[in-house]
Amino acid sequence: MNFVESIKMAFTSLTINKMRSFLTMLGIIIGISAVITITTIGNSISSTLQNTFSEIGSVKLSIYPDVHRDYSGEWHDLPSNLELTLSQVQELINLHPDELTYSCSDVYGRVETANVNGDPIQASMYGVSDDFMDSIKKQLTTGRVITKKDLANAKNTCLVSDYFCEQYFGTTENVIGKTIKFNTLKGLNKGCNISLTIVGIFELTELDKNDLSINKVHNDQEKMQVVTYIFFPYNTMLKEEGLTPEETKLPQAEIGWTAKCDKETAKGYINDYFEKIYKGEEQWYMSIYDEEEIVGRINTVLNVITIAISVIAAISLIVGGVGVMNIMLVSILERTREIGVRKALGALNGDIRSQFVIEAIIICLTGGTIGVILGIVNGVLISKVASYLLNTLASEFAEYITLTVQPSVPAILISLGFSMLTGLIFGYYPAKRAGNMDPIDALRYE
Amino acid sequence: MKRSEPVIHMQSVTKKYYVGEPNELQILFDIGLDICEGEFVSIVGASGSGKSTLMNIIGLLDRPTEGEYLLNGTTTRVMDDKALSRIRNKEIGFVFQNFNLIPKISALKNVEMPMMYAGVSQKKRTQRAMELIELVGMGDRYTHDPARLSGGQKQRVAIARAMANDPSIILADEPTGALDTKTGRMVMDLFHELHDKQGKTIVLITHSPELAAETERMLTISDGRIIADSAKGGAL
Ligand SMILES: Nc1ncnc2c1ncn2[C@@H]1O[C@H](COP(=O)(O)OP(=O)(O)OP(=O)(O)O)[C@@H](O)[C@H]1O
Ligand SMILES: [Mg+2]
Repeated sequence: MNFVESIKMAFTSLTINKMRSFLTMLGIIIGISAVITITTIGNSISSTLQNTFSEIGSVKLSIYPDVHRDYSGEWHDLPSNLELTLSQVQELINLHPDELTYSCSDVYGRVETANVNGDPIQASMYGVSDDFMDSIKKQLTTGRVITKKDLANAKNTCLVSDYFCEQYFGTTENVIGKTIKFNTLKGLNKGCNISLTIVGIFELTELDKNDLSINKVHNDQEKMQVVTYIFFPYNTMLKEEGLTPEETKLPQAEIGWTAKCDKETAKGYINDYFEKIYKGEEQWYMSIYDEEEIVGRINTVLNVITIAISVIAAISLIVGGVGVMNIMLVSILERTREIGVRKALGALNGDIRSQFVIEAIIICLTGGTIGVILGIVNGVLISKVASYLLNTLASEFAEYITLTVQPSVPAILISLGFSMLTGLIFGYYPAKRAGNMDPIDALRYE
Repeated sequence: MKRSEPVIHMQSVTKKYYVGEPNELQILFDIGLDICEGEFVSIVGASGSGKSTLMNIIGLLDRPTEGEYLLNGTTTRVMDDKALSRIRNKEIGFVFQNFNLIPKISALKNVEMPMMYAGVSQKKRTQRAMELIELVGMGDRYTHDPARLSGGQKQRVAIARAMANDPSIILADEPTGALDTKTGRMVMDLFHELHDKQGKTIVLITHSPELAAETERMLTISDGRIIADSAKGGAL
């Protein structure tokens, strides 16, 4: 019979006894909302982590000397010959130049210069490697980046922000190639001078400006000043500091890999290289920290929780389904006469059966939909609380972590699918019974 | 009126309950009956005599235990549930004593229902249902659900519903039984109209001798047997 008519009829009978319908759906509502809540939270955590990592930069392997977990011998400090140095890293990269990459950045110090009017301008200076701009996902508006050549020859080149250009030149036009003399205020080589030639300009966003602004009293006037970044070749920084790569100790290094390589191979290269250096050492080894592994581990935990909740949901769906079956049997008994009349008017067994199956499915689907909505609301609320806590309790991380609330679409679809399936399974038996009723018995039923 | 082949033909029909059990109960005994197209027949008899049982067999809601029942010349013995449903849907219109409208849906939807099971398109069935509702004089109440209709109004909607698929036979089991004399009269007039103007074959069960006297032919049933048939000159 008419499908649309069946659906309308199902909703009509749902609304006739609202309280009963609600109680029938409760098991399904609880089950589905639990699943959707947990998957919304899980999905939000995953996408928050993903966004956070992609904001901080591309995925890298961090290496640093660490103590073996199961080491039980005498403890000693890391011998100085095992400390991670720049030359080791450079050697490692040179062994696999097309596959491994090393990007570094280190604070050189706070520097000051003055424009033609004599206004002092401050900036934070960083020594960086050639792929640094890529790793922070910034693009230049004019000029070029710091190249391998700049790096190898310790050239006195630099990248400045458009904001700095406005401060120093009053314009961003024709500043490429200009040389500026900086005076070191803070850092290792306090009181030194360094002259750098501008090769490229990057854009400072409003967000950057907010982060970098400080209050400054100048000529008795309080003024907001933005201390921008200046980037120059890492090796130039070493030269200025009077260090060689062998002498440059690194607490840790971030090793990346190119498209010609993959993470596991990169890990293999790192292990091979440092195994030789650490030969005979029992306490210390070169540890590799994989950000993605952490994300993976969190995801594994979330998946386990999701599975556990799904099992609970499945149980509540079964319990809910039995409730639906019970209500359908009651409803069919109550409507025996109606079934008899419909049969007298020409309804086939199948017409009656599909009417009641559709009714059961509609009950379950309505319950499922309410559950999904409730679950999303729960998930969003919990995420909101989490973001509030993050901002108040751990505000120093807040700028790195963008909380993304994202309900899991597959979970929603699967939940609705299972609700419908519950209706189909638990509605079928009562519906079949209704369909097979003898018309005359049904009509005479009191 | 021209009398052709009988639309309803029964031969040696019996109805028993609890067949083969010690409490076997026979309700109908050796019923032989012919009703021709366009006849208006009333069935009378004491309560419990088997009138409704016979009517349900005529209406294919129930099957005889023994005997042959031919509807429009075809035997019904071998028909399955599906075939019986189709014939009920197309050929037979039921009017019940207790109206039996489907609750919670409008009078219009009730009238549409047999057409819905016949697969008539929504547009066509609404149109036809409206016509029928106008015909029974319920044009101003078609949106009402049964709970908001009086007994007489319900029965008029039920008659409209019985007419939905333009069946050749109308079976009415005490259609005026739950109504007062005045509304009963109106309902009876409707049957006369359907019989006179549309030539429907009508079988009517009633306890009222006056209403039975209005029909062309009166069958009297007693203890499961037809004991009188006015077409055959009274008592058999
Ligand atoms: N399913 C059944 N099982 C057993 N006996 C039944 C069943 N259905 C009907 N009967 C019996 O059949 C007999 C005839 O019933 P029926 O309904 O045909 O009477 P009726 O002539 O229509 O009476 P009334 O005028 O009161 O409607 C009754 O004695 C009734 O008890
Ligand atoms: Mg009766």
